[in-house]
Amino acid sequence: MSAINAALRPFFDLLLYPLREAPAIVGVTLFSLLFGIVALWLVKLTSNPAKVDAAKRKVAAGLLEIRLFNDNLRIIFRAVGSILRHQAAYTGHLLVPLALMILVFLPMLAQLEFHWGRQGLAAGDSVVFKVVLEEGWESRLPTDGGEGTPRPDLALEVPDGLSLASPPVWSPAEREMAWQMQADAEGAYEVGVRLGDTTHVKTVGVTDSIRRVSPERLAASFTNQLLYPAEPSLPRDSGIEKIGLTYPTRDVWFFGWHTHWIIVVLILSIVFALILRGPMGVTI
Amino acid sequence: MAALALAMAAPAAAYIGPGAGFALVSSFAVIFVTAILALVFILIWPFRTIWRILRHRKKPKPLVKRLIVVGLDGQDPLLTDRFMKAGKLPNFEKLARQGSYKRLKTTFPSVSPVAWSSFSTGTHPAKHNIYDFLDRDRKTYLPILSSTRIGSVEKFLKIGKYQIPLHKPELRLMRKSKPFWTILGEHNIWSTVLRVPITFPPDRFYGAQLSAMCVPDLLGSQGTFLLYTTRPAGEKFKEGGLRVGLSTNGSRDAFETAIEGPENPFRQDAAAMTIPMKIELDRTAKRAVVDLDGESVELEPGKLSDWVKLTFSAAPGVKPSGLTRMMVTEMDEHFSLYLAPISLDPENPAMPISHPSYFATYLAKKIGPFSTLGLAEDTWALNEGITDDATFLQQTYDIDREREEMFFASMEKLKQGSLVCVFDATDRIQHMFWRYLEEGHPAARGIDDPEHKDAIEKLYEHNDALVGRVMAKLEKGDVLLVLSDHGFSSFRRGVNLNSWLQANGYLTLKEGEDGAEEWLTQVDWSKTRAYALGLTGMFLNVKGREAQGIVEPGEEVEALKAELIEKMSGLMDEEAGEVGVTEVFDTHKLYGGPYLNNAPDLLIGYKRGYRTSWDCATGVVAGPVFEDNTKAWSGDHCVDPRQVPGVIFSSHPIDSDDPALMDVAPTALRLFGVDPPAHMEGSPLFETGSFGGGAAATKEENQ
Repeated sequence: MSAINAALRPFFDLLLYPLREAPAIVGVTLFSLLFGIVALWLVKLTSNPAKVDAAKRKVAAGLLEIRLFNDNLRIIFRAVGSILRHQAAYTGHLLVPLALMILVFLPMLAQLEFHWGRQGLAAGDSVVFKVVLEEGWESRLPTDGGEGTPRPDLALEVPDGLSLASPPVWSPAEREMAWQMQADAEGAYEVGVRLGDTTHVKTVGVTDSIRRVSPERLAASFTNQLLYPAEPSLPRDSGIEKIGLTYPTRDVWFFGWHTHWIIVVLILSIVFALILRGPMGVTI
Repeated sequence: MAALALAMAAPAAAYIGPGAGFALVSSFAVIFVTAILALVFILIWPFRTIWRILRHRKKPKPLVKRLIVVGLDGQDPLLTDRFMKAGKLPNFEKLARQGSYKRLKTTFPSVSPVAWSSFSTGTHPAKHNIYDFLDRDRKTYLPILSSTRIGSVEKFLKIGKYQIPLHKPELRLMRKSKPFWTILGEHNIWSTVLRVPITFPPDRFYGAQLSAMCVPDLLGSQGTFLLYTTRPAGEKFKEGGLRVGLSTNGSRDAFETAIEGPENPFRQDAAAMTIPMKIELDRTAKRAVVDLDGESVELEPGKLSDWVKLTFSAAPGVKPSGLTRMMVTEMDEHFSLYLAPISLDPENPAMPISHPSYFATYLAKKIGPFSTLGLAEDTWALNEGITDDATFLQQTYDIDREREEMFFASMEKLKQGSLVCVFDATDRIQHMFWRYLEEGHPAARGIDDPEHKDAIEKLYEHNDALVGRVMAKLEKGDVLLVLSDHGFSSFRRGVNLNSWLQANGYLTLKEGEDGAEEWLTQVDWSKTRAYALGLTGMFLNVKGREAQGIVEPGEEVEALKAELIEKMSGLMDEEAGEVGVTEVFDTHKLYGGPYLNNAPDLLIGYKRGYRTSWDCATGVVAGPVFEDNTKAWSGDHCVDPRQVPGVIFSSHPIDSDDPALMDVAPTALRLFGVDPPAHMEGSPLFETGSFGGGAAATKEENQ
């Protein structure tokens, strides 16, 4: 998964590079078209159009039956049963293409979420930069050697363009060290998180255009790599659970409605697929 | 609910792609629509019920729960008796034992549009206005459909070479009088009426109806098959076919052509809509691939395809569609591709073919695509030798299967009321295979040992099996009637009445004409007193009625009728040494009613074995009066109606001694406790008292 993400990150950066200054809806629309086409192609490749069509016809027949025999409750109830049965069959006939779509689309959508789902920081913004340690860190990681409650030997190396506005605050219960960080100028930065002798890097994006921003860098696991592919995972023995900061969310304008980009993709990809299913000869 | 579906889809991690979106949204949409529809109808059901009770306070007391009428168009009593005696029709026998089996008097004339109109209205033709398939235009003497008037659009909004029709063309059913299902509906009794002839455009009543005879194909004709062929153009087809030449374009295995559809109403030049068609042959694999604008159909020579949908484009969003079946009829030195007449697509019909309008769509969704053409079985292609016996039988039985599926689907839904369905295979197969039933039929000359010589026997067995399946589905309180509109007889000799009229000085051709052109176009009307048109009718050229009439109404008309009746009754076929015409009937003496003036003046009662000739039927005034019929269409029923009664089987004993087709409508009304209206001439077949507690056959008895 790490290797796939390592390949996908520069690929999507490159793909979306021409669209970085355009409104998000432009890219969202183009990708919806692509998703619609790929979805139809997968359905065409892996579903049985005769069975899909038969199920659809039976559903339609049931609906017309309710209208036609509207004086007869027995027929209405039986038609409802038939509709539900055939709708389930319809969904069942599309299970294989659906499974393939999960495989194909999920990594793509996860990449896109970090381009369109978040905005970069603006110059002058102040955010909380957090490092959360794994449970039982005390026995494995270096401490500052002070008396009382152990405190990790953690420090930030902040590049020019970013600055720390406060000393770190340690919350032992959350195993979390937090800094108030100030974005001074636009740029793509790497903040060093030094833990003892080891330094881990976390990206921070200060930008008003559409670029990949990563709110969290997480410890290595399959799920983390699948859902948070914007940065490489932390090494397994780092003792850090996550390093993160909060970016503002981005809504996409869609005919006067400001909403999450994925809802727009959902609607538009369906619309495109409906338009293209005829020319592509796909039964859905 | 749709909004809820979207909200649920919001978390990015849960989103798995547009396919999931489809499944999710469509499932929610379907369930949503289903729930709303069901809820609406359940909620309004009590109000509808109360409204119906208030509206029909005098609720008739039905004698039966359901009346099931199975029409077997043309089932002949003589053949029925013969096959019953041979033990080949056990279900018919059982039905006869349980109830009744009798001859059923048909109408004058004994042709399906007339007979089924009398069946549905309980009246003579003079009250329902249908006398034949064809009527004549009194101004032009040209033939017109007797049952339907299809008008044209007169008003358009014109934009450059395009135009937008501002109204729909007029479409009118010419059958008058009320069919019994309309009267039952007025008493809140549901009827489902499937493919009963002369129901186009459909009746509006409390029930559902699928139109039949006279529903045109997509080209607007009564069934035009297409033949794409590399053979050099020969004579044009006499009936119902168009030949399209295929040029090889350099390769003898690849052709590019087009399927020509109906005229485009959105173009001022009324150019036909077309679908590009590419044909590629693989001679080694013995197959042809037909590409229809991207859709491809694979064909094996001699094998009929399934239904192929043809979608034409008239304007953005206006796409009339039709259904055809294809068959490669030859792929040797020459290549020929047959396309059956293009039926209106029942899922999206270009004309109203059902009531309610979505009933045809419902049936298509329920049972799949089906033929909607009035005369759906392609008799013309077999007549012209384009298809063969086996293909015709396959077409016919496939259509019969479609009909049976819709019949049983409707029967299952019927809780109370009537269900009428007419099956046409009996008529069509007897028309086309009678030549093998009797020795020495002129149409079977040169065919020594035909593969389908027992086609008619098998047909009756097929009908018997159908009756068995219907009987098995009967419930307590049901009455089943199985009936035919007329019987059948041989068609060995054709009679050209117009040739006879010309030879006897009643009809005169224009100077220098030989009468060989169709539709009486060479007749000199200023010197013509009588002419024949249609299958059994003869008209006088009456002054004030016909545009160029010369026979004075009143005494002259009566005298001429009497003269023709005298001369033509017993008309001898000298060559065969037989009488060809048994009797000629004056329609004014046969029946009376408000539409009597539209009737032919005389009806010709041919002897069994005779019928109007093909030339006479198409208005040719040339050739001999009597000639052999050598076409595959070798059986017919357009003879003296007394010689071709139909049959009636009933699950309840029939009380009437001399039942007639006209009696069915009043019977249906009586069975549901409705008094037949005074204008109905038929009488109920059953005495009311014969039902006792009500029910006729029980399920147990029928199994």
